[in-house]
Amino acid sequence: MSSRSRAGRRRGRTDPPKVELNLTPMIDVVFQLLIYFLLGTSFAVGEQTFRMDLPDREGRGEVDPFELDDSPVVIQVLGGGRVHVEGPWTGPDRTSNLAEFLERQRLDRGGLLPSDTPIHIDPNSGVDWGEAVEAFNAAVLAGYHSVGFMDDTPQAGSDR
Amino acid sequence: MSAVSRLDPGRPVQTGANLTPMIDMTFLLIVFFVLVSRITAVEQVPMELPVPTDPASSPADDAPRIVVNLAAGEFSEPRSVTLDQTAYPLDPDGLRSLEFELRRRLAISPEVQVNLRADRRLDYALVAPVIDTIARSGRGTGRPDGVRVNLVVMNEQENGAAP
Repeated sequence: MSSRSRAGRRRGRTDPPKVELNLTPMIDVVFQLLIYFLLGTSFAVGEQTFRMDLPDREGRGEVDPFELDDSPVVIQVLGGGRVHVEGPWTGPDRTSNLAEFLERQRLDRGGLLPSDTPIHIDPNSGVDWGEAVEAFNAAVLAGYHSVGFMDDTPQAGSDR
Repeated sequence: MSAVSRLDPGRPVQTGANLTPMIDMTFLLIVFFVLVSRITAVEQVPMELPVPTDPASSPADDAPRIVVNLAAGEFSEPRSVTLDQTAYPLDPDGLRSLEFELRRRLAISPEVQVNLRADRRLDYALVAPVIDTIARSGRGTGRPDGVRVNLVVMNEQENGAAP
């Protein structure tokens, strides 16, 4: 028997050969994937919401006869940053002044409107969604809790 | 890597970093990003959300939600309203289909809310029928106060951009 085979037998008895998986390519690919998803994922950073409850006026079956119907304040959004507040007062003509005006009308600020007075935003045709939301934001900013968009369906005639 | 054994100076010792925890963590991160990117791709259609100047909006809560997207196409005209990955045309038939689908999902749980993401450049007259559809979809789902809708806006102050 040659010396090489003797040495192999001795090594086989004391030190079994190791079989290992080469993980380097897998780790490379996994890191590539990780970087791809890190850069490619977009989170909803900065997105916030306005709460609005939408009752179904068409399907409303029972109406409480003793429920007082609060007359809403209707704010027409005319476009180009202009608004018109319907009612017996001289309201602001710009959306930028709307929140301040509505806040002054609040009962706890010396005005006549309780904070649960329905505020109906009524955008004219041609007004974009961003401007309608701007007027909505002004009413919420002024501290009113029941803000909605005007319902144009003939059955309702009030807020959504 | 090899070093010399202290017990047997003639025999080299195999040394190496244990990569198993690192590989575990990396795979967990990849699974996380794969799932999150799928969710955001479905819910967040790219669009220009309304940006109020002094926003009184609040952060979205963790309640289960349905996200309705109304993105603007070319010339600021919406092609369709999307719910998950299904597009519904903005005609009476499409809106009726959307209403049925919303009603089916709203009936599953009373806590479900509807998030409305609409492009700020869209004409309000195009968004209004979608709002009407959402309102009608709450019929028969046990919601006496109606469907709770969250109008999604972008708060640039929260986003880190200049107000």
